[in-house]
Amino acid sequence: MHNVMKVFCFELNSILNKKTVRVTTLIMCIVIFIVTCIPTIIAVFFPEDTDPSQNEMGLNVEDLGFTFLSDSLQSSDLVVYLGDELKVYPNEESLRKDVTDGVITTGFVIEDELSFTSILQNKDLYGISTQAMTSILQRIHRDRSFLEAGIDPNLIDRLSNQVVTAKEVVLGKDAQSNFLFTYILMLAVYMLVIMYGSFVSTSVAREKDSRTMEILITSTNPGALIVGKVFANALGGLFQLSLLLLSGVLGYFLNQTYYPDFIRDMLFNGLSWDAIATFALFTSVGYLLYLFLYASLGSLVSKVEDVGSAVTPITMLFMVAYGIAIFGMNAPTNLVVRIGSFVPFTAILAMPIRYFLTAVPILEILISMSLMVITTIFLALLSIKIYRLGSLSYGNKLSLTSAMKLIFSKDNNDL
Amino acid sequence: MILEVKNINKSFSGKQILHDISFSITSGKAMGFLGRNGAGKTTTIRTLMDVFKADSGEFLIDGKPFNPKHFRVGYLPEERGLYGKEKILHQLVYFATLRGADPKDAKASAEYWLERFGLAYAKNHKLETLSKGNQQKVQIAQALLNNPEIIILDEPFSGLDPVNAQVLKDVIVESIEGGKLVIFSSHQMNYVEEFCDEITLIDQGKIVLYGNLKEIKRNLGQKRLRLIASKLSNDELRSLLQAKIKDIAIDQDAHSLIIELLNQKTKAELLGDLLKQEIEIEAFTSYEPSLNDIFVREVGEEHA
Repeated sequence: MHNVMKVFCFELNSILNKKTVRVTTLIMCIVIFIVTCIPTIIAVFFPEDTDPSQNEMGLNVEDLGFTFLSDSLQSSDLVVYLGDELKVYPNEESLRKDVTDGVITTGFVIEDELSFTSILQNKDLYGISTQAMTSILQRIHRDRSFLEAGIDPNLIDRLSNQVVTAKEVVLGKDAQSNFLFTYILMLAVYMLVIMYGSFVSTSVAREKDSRTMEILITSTNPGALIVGKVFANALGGLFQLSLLLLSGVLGYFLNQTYYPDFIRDMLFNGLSWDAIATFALFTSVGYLLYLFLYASLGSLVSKVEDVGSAVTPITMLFMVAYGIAIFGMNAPTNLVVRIGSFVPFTAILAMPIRYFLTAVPILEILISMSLMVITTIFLALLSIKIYRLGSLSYGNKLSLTSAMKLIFSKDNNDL
Repeated sequence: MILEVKNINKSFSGKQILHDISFSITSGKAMGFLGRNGAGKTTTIRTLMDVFKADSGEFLIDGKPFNPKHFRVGYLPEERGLYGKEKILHQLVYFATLRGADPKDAKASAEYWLERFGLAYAKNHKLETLSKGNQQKVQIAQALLNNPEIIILDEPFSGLDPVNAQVLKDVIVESIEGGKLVIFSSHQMNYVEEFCDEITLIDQGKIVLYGNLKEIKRNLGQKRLRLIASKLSNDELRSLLQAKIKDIAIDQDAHSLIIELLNQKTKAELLGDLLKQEIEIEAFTSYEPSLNDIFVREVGEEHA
């Protein structure tokens, strides 16, 4: 136990002193901080257009021109919607000329109340003039039709916009409000497992590649080495993640006045202590489970460059867990997600997602957690055996299958 | 302290590598462990260090089972390796504390050995920034941390220039004088000859020669003589002896003929035969083989 702490401190110090880890963390913190500042940046640098000439339909009347081809619709009919300073052209040619010369941006040739042509020099991605004019003509036609039928259009408007007071009491979980929070946490776990799993396996393989392993296993027992290493990497990852979350939280609190209400609701309405505890428990144990797996496979190779291919099976396994989690975001009660929340390799994400988005009985949580803890302990013991086996096979790349055969072989007395 | 290796056998994948390896070594002495490449030296040392478990046999220290983790053992493996990207002092302190040293003592010990090997300036450098020879010295320093009672060095001189080899020689001599138990393997016979009291020669996993080096030399030279004639070349002398003198076997090296007396023939009888043949003798001395001669004789090509 004493040596576990020594290995842990040495490895943690190595991780935190790695230039790549420091630079990556700094860059990611800056990026996250900038992302949290986006609402402020938009508010400061791109304030909402308060051009007085822009009307309620979002059109700038000074940039528009009109030609009326029939008497059924005149400029006076548009005053209510566009004001009384419309540029009216006698014919389509003069209208086109001003559009071409850039005097106006959009010309409307109004044939009657149900048909018109928009003339634009260029149409940008977000041009809304045609849609706006369509809405105006639809309103005019609707109001005229109501009046002909003896119905007051204002009454219809009032009735259509009647406010209904609605309250929603969610007794279980609110999937809508928990969605963003769940998604952020899932990405964080993904980053932790893939990045620090790779760190662990590379670290083990490098010890073998550099022949440090022989000095290590003659200095202390393999259990202390592997457990210290895995826990150091686990904590290193959590420390880095904490810094990233901290920069996000700092950015949010500095910019919160500019955040729309719906984002605030999506971020924090889902937060509850039991949800956070469930998440922390499952991801911590699952994270350790994967790190032990990564450490085992790192022990099987003799060269650092072989690590990538050696750990592919675990990465694929974790991708399956991630896939189930993504699927679970939309269908948290689906049978696949429910089964996945009990399988230790997929429960790392599946169970927290089920818990965030639906109501999960406490018994199911306990069963899933127990299975996960037992599997993690088993994998920890197995990884120590594989590490010890790896130290005996310099220069050879062992397959997982042959490693298992050797570990469980009665003839092998080296373990 | 007496370390005994008793009847060690070890197989890998059904192939027996070590066959009944036995020898012993006491504190205050150094044992040279010799053998050709692949003879089983490193496997024996790794088995002793508990990297591998022996199939049968035992290691005893003062008559009790030996567990290297219960003693202060300084070990330099054949496969050299430390953390290239870690600072030298930092990792030496780490290794020393893993073996049970107090962090303060570990630091003092690491600094002492770095100073001794002329690497004090590099204590905060990363290992990978040093030359190969200096990295080798750091490796040796890690084996000497914590004032070990037992020092096991697998090929410690390989990669060292003559100046650094001298530093290491001094360290080994000091360790022997300090009452430590030293085992080291080497291909460089001059080093072994210089400070090993005992040698163990292994070939194809079997001990072929073991004992006190002086006695071995004496025994192997007992019935042998070195002969030089002043007016004949070695080849002429050899032809003459083969034709005229019985009960001898003739060998030669670069300087002289080496005559082995057979069938109870005495030195006096041989001398009489030489005088009868009117051979003008320049040298007629007892022969003591060098360690190199012993090595070649015992595990040379004809034994392979």
